Amino acid sequence: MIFTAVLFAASHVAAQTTPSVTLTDKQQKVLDYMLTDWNKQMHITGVGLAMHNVGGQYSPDDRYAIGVFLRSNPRLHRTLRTFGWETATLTHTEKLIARIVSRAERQNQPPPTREEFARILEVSPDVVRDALKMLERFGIMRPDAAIKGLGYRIAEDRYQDWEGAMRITFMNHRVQVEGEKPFEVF
Amino acid sequence: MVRFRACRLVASLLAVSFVVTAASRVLPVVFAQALQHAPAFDLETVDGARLSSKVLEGKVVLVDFWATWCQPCIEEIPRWNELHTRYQAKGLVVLGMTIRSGWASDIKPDAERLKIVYPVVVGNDDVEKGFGGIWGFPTTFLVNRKGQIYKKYTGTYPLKQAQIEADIQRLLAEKP
Repeated sequence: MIFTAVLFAASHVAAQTTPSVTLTDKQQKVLDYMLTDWNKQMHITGVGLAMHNVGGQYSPDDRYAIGVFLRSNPRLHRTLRTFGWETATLTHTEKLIARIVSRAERQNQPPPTREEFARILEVSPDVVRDALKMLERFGIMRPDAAIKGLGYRIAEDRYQDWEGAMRITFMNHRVQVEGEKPFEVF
Repeated sequence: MVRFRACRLVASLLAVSFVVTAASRVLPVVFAQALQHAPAFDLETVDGARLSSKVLEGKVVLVDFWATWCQPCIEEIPRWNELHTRYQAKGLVVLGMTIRSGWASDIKPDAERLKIVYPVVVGNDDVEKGFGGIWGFPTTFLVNRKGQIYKKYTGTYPLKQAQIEADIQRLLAEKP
């Protein structure tokens, strides 16, 4: 009886702590790097820079997997609970696109076209396309043919007020100290 | 003569516009245009209890939107402690509305370390929106006994505390 209860309790704890997605070894290295970084004052190095600092071959699929893992595991670190998984996961281009589109929708204005985004953000149209695709994968934006020139809209109401307090959801700044790897701060 | 008057009018308008612009920079206080009702809420306190806005009815409430990582917010806390202690019996409630600082269990150690003596709750987007939006930390609101937002004080600046205390005294003197 006691054994059964202990077994049940153990399985319950395991169910609570087992992440809903798993990471590969090389993705885990990136996660470990970030968790160490986030323990330093004001540090909030994101997935993209962490993958770069860890070194090796990483793809957008790796960033997606790590992002989903962070989204599923807010207990991992206070940084996630404070600033959200989006802040640590999205690239600056993705954040800026989502931010501008959410603001446009809030103000009932048409969002910029893909070409305008490329020009505003000084990136290639391919980068804009990839950013939109990644925002779609994360469920932040969704395709909508009615949005001329962009083809996307914000997927969830909560992202329409995404800027929130001090627009902090999107804020992290890259810092480079001589002799050290770059990091990001809030 | 007509030209002279026109020039004088233009000069006056420019002067007024300059004074208004300068004043808005020097005095970062945004007055509530029409007294809007503070939002109703039921929020988790850092101790794991609940705090409903209903218990604040008839009180003057100082709502401090702060974050645990915001140094200017932290520097204001001793003053909020003082106001809480001095005016609590007269009908003031100081409420720490913690934003962007994680869960209650994250905030509690900070609240203890900072020796906050007034209630501290975990804020959310709805409350933030209900107060008309927060564009910087700290942002402080005074709510009158009728539950209306009397004033919004954005940021931290000289004489903010004195101004708030004077406003508290004025609001406490009003009949519920």
